[in-house]
Amino acid sequence: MRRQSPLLVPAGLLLALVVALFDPHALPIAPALAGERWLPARSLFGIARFVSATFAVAGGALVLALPAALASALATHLWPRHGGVTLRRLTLVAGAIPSVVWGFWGLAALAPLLSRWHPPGQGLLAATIVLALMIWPTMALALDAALERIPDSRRLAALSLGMTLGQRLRLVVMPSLRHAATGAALLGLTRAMGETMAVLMVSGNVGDWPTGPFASIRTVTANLALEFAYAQGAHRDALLLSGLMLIVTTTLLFWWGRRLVTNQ
Amino acid sequence: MSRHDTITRGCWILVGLFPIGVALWLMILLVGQGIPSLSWSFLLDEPVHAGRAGGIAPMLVSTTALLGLALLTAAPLALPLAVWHRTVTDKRARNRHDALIDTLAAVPSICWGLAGYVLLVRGAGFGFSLLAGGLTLGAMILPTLVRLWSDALADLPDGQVEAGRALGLTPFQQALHIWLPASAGSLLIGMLAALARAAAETAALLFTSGYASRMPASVFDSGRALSVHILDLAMNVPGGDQAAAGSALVLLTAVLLFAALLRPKHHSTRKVSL
Amino acid sequence: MSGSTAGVVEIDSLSLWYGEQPAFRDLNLSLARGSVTVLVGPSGCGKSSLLRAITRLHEAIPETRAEGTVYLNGIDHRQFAAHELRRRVALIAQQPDPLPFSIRRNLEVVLRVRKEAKRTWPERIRDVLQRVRLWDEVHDRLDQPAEALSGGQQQRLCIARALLHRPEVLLLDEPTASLDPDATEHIEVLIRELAPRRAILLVTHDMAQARRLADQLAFCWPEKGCGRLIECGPAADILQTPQHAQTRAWLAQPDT
Ligand SMILES: Nc1ncnc2c1ncn2[C@@H]1O[C@H](COP(=O)(O)OP(=O)(O)OP(=O)(O)O)[C@@H](O)[C@H]1O
Ligand SMILES: [Mg+2]
Repeated sequence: MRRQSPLLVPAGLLLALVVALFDPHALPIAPALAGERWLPARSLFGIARFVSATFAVAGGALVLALPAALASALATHLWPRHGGVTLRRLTLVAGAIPSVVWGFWGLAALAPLLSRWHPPGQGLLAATIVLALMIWPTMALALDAALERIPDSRRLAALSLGMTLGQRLRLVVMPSLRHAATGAALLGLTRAMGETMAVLMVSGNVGDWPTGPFASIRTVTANLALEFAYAQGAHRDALLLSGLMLIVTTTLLFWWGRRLVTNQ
Repeated sequence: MSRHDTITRGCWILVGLFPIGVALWLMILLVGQGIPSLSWSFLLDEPVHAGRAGGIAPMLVSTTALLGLALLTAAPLALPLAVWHRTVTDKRARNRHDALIDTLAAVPSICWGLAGYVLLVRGAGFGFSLLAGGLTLGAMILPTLVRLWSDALADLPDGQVEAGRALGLTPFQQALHIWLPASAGSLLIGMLAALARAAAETAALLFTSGYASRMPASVFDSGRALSVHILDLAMNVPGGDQAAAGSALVLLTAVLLFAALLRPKHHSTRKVSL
Repeated sequence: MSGSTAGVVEIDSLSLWYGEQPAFRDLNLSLARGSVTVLVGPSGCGKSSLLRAITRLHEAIPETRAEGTVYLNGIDHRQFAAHELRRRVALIAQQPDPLPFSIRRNLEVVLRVRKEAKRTWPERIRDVLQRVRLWDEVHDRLDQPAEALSGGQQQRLCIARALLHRPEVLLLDEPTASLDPDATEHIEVLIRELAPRRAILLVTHDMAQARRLADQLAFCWPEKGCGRLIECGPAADILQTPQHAQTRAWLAQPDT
């Protein structure tokens, strides 16, 4: 077993994480999380609205980011050669922009823009757009790698069948990307669900149901960031439990996505 | 290339440039809003009026300290893992390792913050401190660092690995005497990229290193990271936008300088066009 | 180019470079309707490269450059839209290259590209598969992956796929290289059937096959890594009285 002993480090870290967030004494609170209202002062710890907001905002971000990622991955490959390499580097750089900075942009540029339509502009839509901008680069790089893996023989086959570029993309390239795109989407979803700061800064944080583009929503992560610092007792237990749920959910989604990406 | 194809190509490239364009919009906006507040005194002074005026010196110091601590935490663990990853022949063990590292990398950063609070701030009694923040950050970037360093070592030719083995060196001796010198450049780049990720982090620091905007005197003091400062100025300080933009510009510049060093992993070489 | 005597395809001093390295140079060849031209030559003399250059596939390969002209029915092939050219001049690659779909979908893709009415598809698919003698073997598993077929079946599927375009010219790159005698026989019969209404260029290493099929015979030889067409003419003449020393040597070697 000595050969596997290095595995103890990451395994130990994962264990520490779970141990820190999982407190058996908090378990009795668990059913309360399913409720609708979050009013810690009255011992109401329902996070249903936060969970639905998390899924709404992450799902919406995915819907925006996937086409963007696909287009930019395709542009990387369709661009005459050196342009493509530059584009790829820019994508990498865009993926490194800190989330507070995106949040600041959301407050300073995006929200004022949206507020012309519906003041104050913050809410579900703003958070979705900011999140989409944060997650597309990772997805684009995954799709880019999948495009790269399309073998020359397949490219030549499509060409010699007399397909136009549009037909090659639609009939050969897109089907070749199916797994990778699903995987990339799940990885993007994972990141979107775990993201805190940018969402916190532009989503309004009242905690409405995510029913309209300007609903003032609060995600599970934002709720943690806003309240954990002063939470005590049962309030704190409930927050830790919601954090644990977040880890479990994102990990499961991540695993699914990872399998799709690597099994290609 | 027919006209039809040229149009298709042009359309996709245009659409594909759109998200990059938005990222550039963000950068231009930050430069426009942030430049006016940049000056030597901005970098060297303490904040005044909750940050509306004055500078960001304590945040720069705290951020540097946090990054240093994170690196001190993560590097000694990550290097042996990366070396092991390069040498291990047991494929199943390696896959298991990759899976664990990927899982860790996918943990939402705020959850690292919660764990850091429970285990370090409270459990170990460090309180809100640079030490707790640095350790948390170190745990958080460990998977990134392992990944980047494994990739760096993977570029070493197999011949060098074989040669080292033939000389009867232990993996660790090989690493020390042969590989690390040979791939020092890419290891350094990997380290900077991991630090860029750490410097960009906010959520994990909220409950570990805290908000105090004083100049920290030791690692047991609370210290406000630059990213936390931006959050505070933008959200809680009316009239803090100007200083927020300046701080964001500083952070963005630092992070992007680090990240721009990173080379994309795969490059198209002589592939038939799509 | 006077219409009546000129071939369907006229290759006029065509050269091709991969980067700085020439693959073949100054190649002249004429393919006539109703005739099978067989191109032989040692490995690496640029046979596959020539076939790609005829259909302008080299344009998709980075750092590859061609000089000279190819005429299709008297028109410079660069005047066609690339996809149009490749529908009229079908290339069947050296390695069978079915797309990673089902057998049916591999064929439907072409019908879709051609925008043929959907109700005609099943019939077209059956016809073309019968034509390449694949129908009996696969008609009950059209929805299985094409990549699960044997090499010979894949090769026939690729020919079928190309035939759906009803091409005027067929370029076949060693279509029987990896097949057993039975399957080879199938393909040779098919080529003879297809020949009367088309121009066919066939690359092969198998001299016995060349003797069986060729109306016109062309010999390619590498000089300093660059292919040259050293001899070309009616098959009967060349087989009887080869002019070139290398051709004689090549013809003298025992058939495999
Ligand atoms: N994509 C490419 N890039 C660079 N060089 C190439 C490429 N394709 C072929 N070549 C080179 O061009 C020369 C001719 O190759 P080609 O495949 O045309 O030969 P061939 O006559 O078909 O050989 P074979 O009988 O083995 O199929 C070879 O030296 C080969 O290495
Ligand atoms: Mg060949």
